[in-house]
Amino acid sequence: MKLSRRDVVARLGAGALLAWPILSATRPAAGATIKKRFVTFFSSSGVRQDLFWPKGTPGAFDAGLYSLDGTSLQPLEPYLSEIIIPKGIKIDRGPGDSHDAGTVAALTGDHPRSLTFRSKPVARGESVDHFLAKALCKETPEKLLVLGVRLRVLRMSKYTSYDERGYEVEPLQSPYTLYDRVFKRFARSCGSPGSGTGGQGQVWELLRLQKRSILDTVRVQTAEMMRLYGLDANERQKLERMEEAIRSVELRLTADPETTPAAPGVSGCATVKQTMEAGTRVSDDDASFPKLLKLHLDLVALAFELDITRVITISLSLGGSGGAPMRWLQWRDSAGRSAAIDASHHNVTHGLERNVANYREKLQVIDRWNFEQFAYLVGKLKAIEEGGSTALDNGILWYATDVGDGKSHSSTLMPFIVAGRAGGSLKSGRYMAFTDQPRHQRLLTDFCHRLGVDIPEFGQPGAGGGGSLL
Amino acid sequence: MRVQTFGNHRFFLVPAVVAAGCVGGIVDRVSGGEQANPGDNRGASVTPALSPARIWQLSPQQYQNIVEQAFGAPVDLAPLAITERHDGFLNPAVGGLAVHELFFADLEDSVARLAAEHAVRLASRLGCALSELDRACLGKFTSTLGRVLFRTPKVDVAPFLDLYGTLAPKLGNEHAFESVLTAMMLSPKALFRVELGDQRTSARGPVRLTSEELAESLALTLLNRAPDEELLRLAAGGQLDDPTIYGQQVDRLLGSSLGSAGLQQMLAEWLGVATFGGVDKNPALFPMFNDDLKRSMVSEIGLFVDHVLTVRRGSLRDLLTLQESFVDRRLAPIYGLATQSAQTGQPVPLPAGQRAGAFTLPAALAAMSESSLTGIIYRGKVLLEKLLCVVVRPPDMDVEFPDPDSLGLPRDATTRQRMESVEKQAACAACHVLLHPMSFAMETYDPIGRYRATENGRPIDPSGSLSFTRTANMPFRNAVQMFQVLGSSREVHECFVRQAFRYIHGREDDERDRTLLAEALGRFESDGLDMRSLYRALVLSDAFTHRERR
Repeated sequence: MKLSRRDVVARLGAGALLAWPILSATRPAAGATIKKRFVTFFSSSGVRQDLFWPKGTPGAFDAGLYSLDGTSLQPLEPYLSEIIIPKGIKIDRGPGDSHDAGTVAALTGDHPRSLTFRSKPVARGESVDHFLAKALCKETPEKLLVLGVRLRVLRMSKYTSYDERGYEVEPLQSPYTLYDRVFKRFARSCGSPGSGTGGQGQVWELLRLQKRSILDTVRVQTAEMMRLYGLDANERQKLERMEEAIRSVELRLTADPETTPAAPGVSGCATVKQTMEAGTRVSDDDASFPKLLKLHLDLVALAFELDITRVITISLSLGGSGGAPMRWLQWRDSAGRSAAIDASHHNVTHGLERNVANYREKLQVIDRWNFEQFAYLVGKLKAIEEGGSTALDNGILWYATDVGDGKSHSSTLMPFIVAGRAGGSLKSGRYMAFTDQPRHQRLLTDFCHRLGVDIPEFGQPGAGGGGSLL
Repeated sequence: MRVQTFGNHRFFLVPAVVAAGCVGGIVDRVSGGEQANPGDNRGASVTPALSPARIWQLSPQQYQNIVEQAFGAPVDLAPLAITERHDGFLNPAVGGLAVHELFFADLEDSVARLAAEHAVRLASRLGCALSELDRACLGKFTSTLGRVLFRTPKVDVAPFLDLYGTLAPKLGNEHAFESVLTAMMLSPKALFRVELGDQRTSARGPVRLTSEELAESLALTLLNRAPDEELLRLAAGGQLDDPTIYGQQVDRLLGSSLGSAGLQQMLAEWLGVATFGGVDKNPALFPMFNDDLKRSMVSEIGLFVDHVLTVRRGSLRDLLTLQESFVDRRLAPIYGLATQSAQTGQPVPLPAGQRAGAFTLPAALAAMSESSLTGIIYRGKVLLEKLLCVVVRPPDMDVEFPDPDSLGLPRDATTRQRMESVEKQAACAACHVLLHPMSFAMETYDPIGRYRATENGRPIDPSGSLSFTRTANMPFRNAVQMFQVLGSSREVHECFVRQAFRYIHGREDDERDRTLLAEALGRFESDGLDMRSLYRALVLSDAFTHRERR
């Protein structure tokens, strides 16, 4: 069968030629094993410490020893039984700009190797999400997904996630790119299961042949360059990365999306599909920040519903200068007049030093909004039913940040929150207080253990030991 | 003060506050968590540095230019993000990031779309009908296209003919032809430039780039695109191995209409305006900062740079001090001018005493400001890096920022008054005394580059001095005088030489490059600070034409 452009357009729509969908890998059948997941929700610049910690005494949630009344954590009230609030952890980030170093250290569990991009790689090794993805995503078509919202400035605090070599993983910032690249092939079955036809399957076969042949040609040339040029390791890794990129695109060329089975019981699928494929798109600007974030969070939930991946990191702010001004938030002055917060979270934390008046009142609004977003994701994961438990029960969702308090850049009293039960290995619903300032590497190590990955410690050698923290 | 030699010249590399650990300078480089000490190798005999044998990703701009050159038509590759560089330049650094898998997927989509759009038009160049396209006919075409896309006279067309052979029977000739175009654009030979040299030569020491590699590097550096036919022909015959012929080609290219394209791109990146589309301002405060105004700003600074390069003999001093520019209808209110001159193509004088040079044009000012604020400290940091090559490190952890309230300042104090309080804090002073003079001088420009004499109703005091420098330490009353001081300062000239070197070589300079930099500086100064002449000196140097032996 010869394939004309008209055939393709007629059968698949003009979009098929423009944004060529990535064809499906076979989704594993819903297995009996628990799908353990790890999500990091990263929001830089810390919190107002005086409003963060629960009121009352540390202990178990069901003993009624503490409450979130009057704290910025109030949006998490409905999920008190699902979260652990560990007070007293210190982030071990080493020297350098605390936002940059804190962001690198948060997930790598180590001090940056370099304090600037002039000397790469900047991290000493891989981040915990990257590490866990290799263990948790063996059966899923995608591995680690790193997402970001409006991270516009190139600085180290843009990057939470690093590969084994310590090179940063670029966050995907457009929810539409994410959807088109990663989700669309699975979402095809949403809302209209079993719509595939044999004729289109044949077209897809040819399109796939074309794409694979092109990629093969390019891959062979890449391998040839590596062989002929006798490059040293640093030069070689450039071509190795290109080869990996080609392979990752090829990997997605395995099956006909038309015959991808419908995902039974996937509630949010049709809605997300409709939103993402609608003609009008949310524009990519600071004013659309909340909308972009919600699209991302909905995709995070959908990724789990469809079991596309099991490890996701999303960063919604950039530590240090260059973050998005949070004009979508209103604060009220003492006279009850409301006005938009016209500064980034970072600049608000520094108050008058950054020309921001009433910064404490504004921070209260910002912190609360951040935890509303986090609570939204907690709720989404809790709503995903999985054989008697929920996606939240089966994973760990970590609220992470770079500094304890934005104004002082403190490294102590890190406002971390751990949601989920890691498939039953983690007892949630607790407010914990540590007096010995455990380093955050112990938390990272504990995450690995709870998720069934047995390693002595994660991050800087010697820092993550000392037994389980949670 | 710390004095370092710079070839025959002596100069103050960095001020005394280095002792406080503030400045990285050229050496803001960390190995094993330790800050390298800039002065350690002083006086020691060092081998001249050569860049390693390497492959180097094209910049997005170069890639776009080359595809356009190959296709003979404008192409839209946005949003193409091959890679980014983090030291103020966009041109990918040699040690930089490589292809991200999803960006590669985007690139793949993008070029597949281009191939589909341009296939029929390009097929008219085949010399045979698409319906009768065979290996011989396609071979000639791919060989011609590959000369531009791969920037080499020797194109191995076999893989593409094989691809065509596989696909044509199944997809039809047109789709198979499109696939060939796609594969060529995605080829690593299109994406990476190669600088290996002929490593097989028996001699020891540095390796001269091959004739082909020289043609490619020269064209990318000077023209920001692929070599033209003459260069390719000489490359094919190995004639660029002859330094005389190579030199003639340098002069031919520099004299051609596109001879300054590479320099112009470097200047756009140096001035911070190469990605101006991404600059946003608070719409509540600056409703006039719309896409039309942004286009006018970018166009103005482009015309200004062009004017300096062509009419003002490429003078760096003029780039930094000229008090005239190209003000169109939209920019006139930004300058507080009633006139407009864009149509005449002639520059008009800017309001007296308010502007001096490219860094005081609205585009550069808007790019180095925040959305609502001037970005006072950031501006100082940027200008120190760009003009004096002094890199101020970010504050160390756990710095307490003081509230001016607590320092007894009035609430409507100017930003300068508030920032001056920081100088009284020992922990902050070391760096802030370096940042403040430039930061304060620039306070007379608002976030979209309008001149202002007051802030909160209080007069702005832009005066100061760069007392930590040796050749730019004259007191100035305002930004105009500051740029005049800077324009005549040897430290600034030295720094610009280093910036151009970094841009062209895709790496930091270090002690071992000192001799070369001093020679280039000598040429630059004796040629009246002509930036084109600096570029010429740099591409004629051994460092450009040679690589390390592996």
